[in-house]
Amino acid sequence: MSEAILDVQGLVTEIRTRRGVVRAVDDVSLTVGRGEIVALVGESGSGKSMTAYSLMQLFPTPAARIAAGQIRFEGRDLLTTPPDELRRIRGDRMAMIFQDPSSFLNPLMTVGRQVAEPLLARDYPRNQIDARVHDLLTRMGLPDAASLARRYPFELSGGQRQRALIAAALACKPTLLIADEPTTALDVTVQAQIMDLLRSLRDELGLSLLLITHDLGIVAQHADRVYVMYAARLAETATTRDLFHDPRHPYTRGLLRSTLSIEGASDELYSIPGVVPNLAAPPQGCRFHPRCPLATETCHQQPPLAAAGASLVACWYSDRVA
Amino acid sequence: MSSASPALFRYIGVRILQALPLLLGVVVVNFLLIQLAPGDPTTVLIGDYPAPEEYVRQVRAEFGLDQPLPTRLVNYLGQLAQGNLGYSFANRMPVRELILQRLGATILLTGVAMALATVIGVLAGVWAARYRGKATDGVVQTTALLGYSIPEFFLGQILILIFAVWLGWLPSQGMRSARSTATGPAATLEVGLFLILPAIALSMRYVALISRLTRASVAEALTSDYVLGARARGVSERRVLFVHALRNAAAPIVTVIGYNLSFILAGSALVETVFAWPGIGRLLFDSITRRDYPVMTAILLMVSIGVVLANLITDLIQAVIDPRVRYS
Amino acid sequence: MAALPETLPGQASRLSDAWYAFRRNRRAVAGLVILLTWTVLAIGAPLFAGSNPYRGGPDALLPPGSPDHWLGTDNLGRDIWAELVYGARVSLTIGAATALVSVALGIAVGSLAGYFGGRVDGVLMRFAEFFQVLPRFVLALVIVALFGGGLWKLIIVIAVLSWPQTARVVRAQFLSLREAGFVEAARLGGMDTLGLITREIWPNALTPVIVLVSLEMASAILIEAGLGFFGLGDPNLVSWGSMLNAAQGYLRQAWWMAVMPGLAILSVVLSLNVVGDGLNDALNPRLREAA
Repeated sequence: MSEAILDVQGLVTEIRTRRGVVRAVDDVSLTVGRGEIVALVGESGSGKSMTAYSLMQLFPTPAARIAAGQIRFEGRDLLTTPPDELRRIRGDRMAMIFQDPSSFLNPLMTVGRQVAEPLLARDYPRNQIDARVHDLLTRMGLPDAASLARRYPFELSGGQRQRALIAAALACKPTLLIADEPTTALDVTVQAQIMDLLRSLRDELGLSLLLITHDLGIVAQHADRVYVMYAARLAETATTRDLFHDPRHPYTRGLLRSTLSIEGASDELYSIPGVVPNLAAPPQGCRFHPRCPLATETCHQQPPLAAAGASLVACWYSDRVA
Repeated sequence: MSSASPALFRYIGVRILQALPLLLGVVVVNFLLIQLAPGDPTTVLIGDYPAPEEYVRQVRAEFGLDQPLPTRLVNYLGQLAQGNLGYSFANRMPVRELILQRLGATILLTGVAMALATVIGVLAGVWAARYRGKATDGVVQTTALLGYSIPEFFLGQILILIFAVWLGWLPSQGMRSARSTATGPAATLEVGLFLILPAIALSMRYVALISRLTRASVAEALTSDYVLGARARGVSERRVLFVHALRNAAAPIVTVIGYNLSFILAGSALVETVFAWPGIGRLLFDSITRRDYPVMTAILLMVSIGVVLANLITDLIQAVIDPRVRYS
Repeated sequence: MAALPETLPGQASRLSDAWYAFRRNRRAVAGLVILLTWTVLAIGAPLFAGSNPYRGGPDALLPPGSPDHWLGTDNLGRDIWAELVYGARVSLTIGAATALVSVALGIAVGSLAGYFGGRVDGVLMRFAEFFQVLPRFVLALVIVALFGGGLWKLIIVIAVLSWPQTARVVRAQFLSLREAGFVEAARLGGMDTLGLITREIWPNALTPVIVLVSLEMASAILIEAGLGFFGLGDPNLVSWGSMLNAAQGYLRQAWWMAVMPGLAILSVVLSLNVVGDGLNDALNPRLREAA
């Protein structure tokens, strides 16, 4: 792994709700190296998107806040950075794209103006903005950029919107792109195109990519390393290759079985028994233990993230999973 | 950067076609009022004044008052098409001229009041939305509630009491002082001084409406995904508020002014009466007290047509603000 | 089909929830108290007025705080307090009656349009649109000026010009409920149209209308005040609008002639608006969650 441009330690994010404070992200540590594609994987409600929002320090709800931890980005501590500077980092050094490209574009503004916004915010020479926007849109694989820039989001297809959002995110050549389920809302063929685009951007620009997804197929094809989240905590992390060949957490194993058994086609689609725990009242200790075939009394204690095989795993019995 | 698409022109065409029956409808209502009023329609067409015998005959002939109702309607429409709104004996001039004479003052008053309402209402609304749930928000909301509940003419009287009678700071009756000889910029300034109190009285209700609407739309936008997206692009908080969020409020604000023209003009009639402002509203009041019916019905007709046109224009502006409208 | 509930399950508890939420809204409760106070004063006017508001006296233009006239007297020596109390009768009667008539008309038209849809809906909604573009206040002025005033004429005129908003709301409710499961079940059970509308849909469709009643009332009271201010109120009754009309000529000598009836109108309209807001929040649980 090359030098880490993003280094997160012990991140805790809390959301105030009517039933009390919920830890949506609980003691998550992760790193992303320069030019690396790192996947953060989990089911919906696992806290993976909330982790992404925490890195940007932007939340969909004012009820969320970062309660503990450290976020170092390009060597500086983002949690002690004043809001004004943080705003300058967003969109400039660190950018984000989202799950539903339709709702993340302002319906009443032309696409071009929204792509131009990061440039406008940083004194980019005014007379060159249009040219830069057209160049960006073209590079995102959008033909006829000049006319497209004048259109409104509702006049574009889902794939075009996501490309436009990527163009806006990359306008200032950031070093890190956080992609929150960038293909979930798109058609399968468009999904592949968008992923290929992101990957080629990594290759050309040396961009680092933190890919938030629940789609293990995408992870297998594109990611260098993987973090698996379960119920707000990290379950396991490894290189993509090791994780798929030698998963060490029972949850990872179940997850792989439930998605990849389609290819084996030998038996019915496997699914992990039980349900994802309610984060307002999580199980004590290892959060997976109520659903885990290996669980014992020991599992009422939270296991540390420890080396097992080529992975780091939060499981007391990682040596038995194989 | 505007995209004047064929869809926009088609939409405009359809909306104009839809407005035509409404226009005809309001004209017919006016006609029926004149015809069905107790007594002789000539009284309504001429007013409660001793008119020369030959003028009575002329009116009877022009409007065909001895003909059956449908024929009379056609005659009435014909007279309107020629711009004949009748003659005001109380003012000794044709109604059309009388109205044109007074129109400027009303447009000035309502225009200034609505501009004032928009600026203050938008700023207060954005401010309240930005600090939602805080003390500022509460102050704005409470003021808006008061402004929305107070009758314009009573507010006008209060303003006169405070600023004209007690403090003596501002004039309160008319548009210029009786002995004024000012010309040029001095005259404009003088009208401006006379305008302050009536404009405030007329605008208060719309300050309230617009600030409430702006607060709601901006607050909604601030929790939207696209604002989150804009922030993720490093867009400044000011731009988020005044470009992204406020754009969301633009359509409702245009609607509240456009669709409330009849209430604005009603408010203007009352405010003009309180401040002796020489506009259409004051003319309406005078025509009612003097039983000058042709003026009264002509004003009703003008206001009705104005409302239909204002609604039409509002819809067209909506289509420009929100391109999605054109396709609905 | 006997087991079919008349209303959606939880309808009754929804209303009691709403009442609970309303009660916790202090502004709305204060508004309700002010409205009830005016209502009591209006009903018991002869008891509370202290003097005859129609009979003048020798003491004209007495300021508030005078021995026999605590709110002062007007230019004809009439007691302002007595005029206010009797004027409340006019304002509240017009407000309540107009709101009821216009909302009833709106419910009727909206129900028909929403239930039958199609061409009936098209025609009725064009009709509603037409009534909505008519300039309510100016038209009411001209009608009263031409045809003469009087309490009940005012009520009918204002109500006939005010129903479309209710009609639109009710229609929208009907469109969403028309195909609802419980309506469908009752229809299959052989219930006739009238029964479907009145017993199945109305109980579930009319909560938003409760809010409209208070708003229509406020708007009718403002229109009446404006007509009164133009000298077109019921000539035989003292009303707040006509008091303001008289006050206009005496602003410099007797501020109380304007301020007292003006504050009375403000207090009633403000109360109706906060009660309307309170009802809206209370009947709209989704908004309540968000607040």
